[in-house]
Amino acid sequence: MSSQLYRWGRLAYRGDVRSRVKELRGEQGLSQQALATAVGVSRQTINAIETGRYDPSLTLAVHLARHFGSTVEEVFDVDG
Amino acid sequence: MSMDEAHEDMKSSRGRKWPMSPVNTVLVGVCVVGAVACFVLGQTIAGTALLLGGIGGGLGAIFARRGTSGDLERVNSLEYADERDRAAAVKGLAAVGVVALILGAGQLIMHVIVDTDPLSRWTSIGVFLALTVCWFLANWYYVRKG
Repeated sequence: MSSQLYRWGRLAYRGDVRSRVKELRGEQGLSQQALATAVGVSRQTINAIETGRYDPSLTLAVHLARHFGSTVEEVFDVDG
Repeated sequence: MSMDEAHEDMKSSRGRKWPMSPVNTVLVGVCVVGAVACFVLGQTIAGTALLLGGIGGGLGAIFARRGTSGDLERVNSLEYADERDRAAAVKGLAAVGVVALILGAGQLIMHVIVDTDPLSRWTSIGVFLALTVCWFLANWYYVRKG
């Protein structure tokens, strides 16, 4: 599985998650604030997700995916 | 708590009628009650300091809950708007815990090396033991809780 790697002899998950939130938000013509209000988080959190500084929880990832009418795997790419 | 309930909680966290979080309400309340007690006992300087601290903390919390407030402002004021604020606060407090353990150990060693008075020595031992026990209990709880 490509999202896993061995580090210091232990199985670990790679931390970088690429999101399509910015792209999907742009397609819907939404501002960061509008999307933040829709999914119940702060504008800074949407910005942090888009710039890769924050990996959302499963709950927030599901709600973002639902908002875009998509699936979590289509919105977030963990395989690089 | 189901996923939808968690989401509703997340969505409603900034729309509550009370102007500050329960933690800030308790902190402001303690400051005000302490200030009143100090004024009654004639400790006007301590009372004024507590009152100003309570007012400052309360105003900070109220302003941090505004829609235009920044994330650092919210985390510093204990007014978390969402999961990212809470995650940042947990990491910040964890860093404080590490520093407290290191400083506690350093203080304990200093008190053992330098022959200080028994009260200071036992206080530093007590603080370090309390921090260590708290750490183990917190680890036990959160590992069990998952």
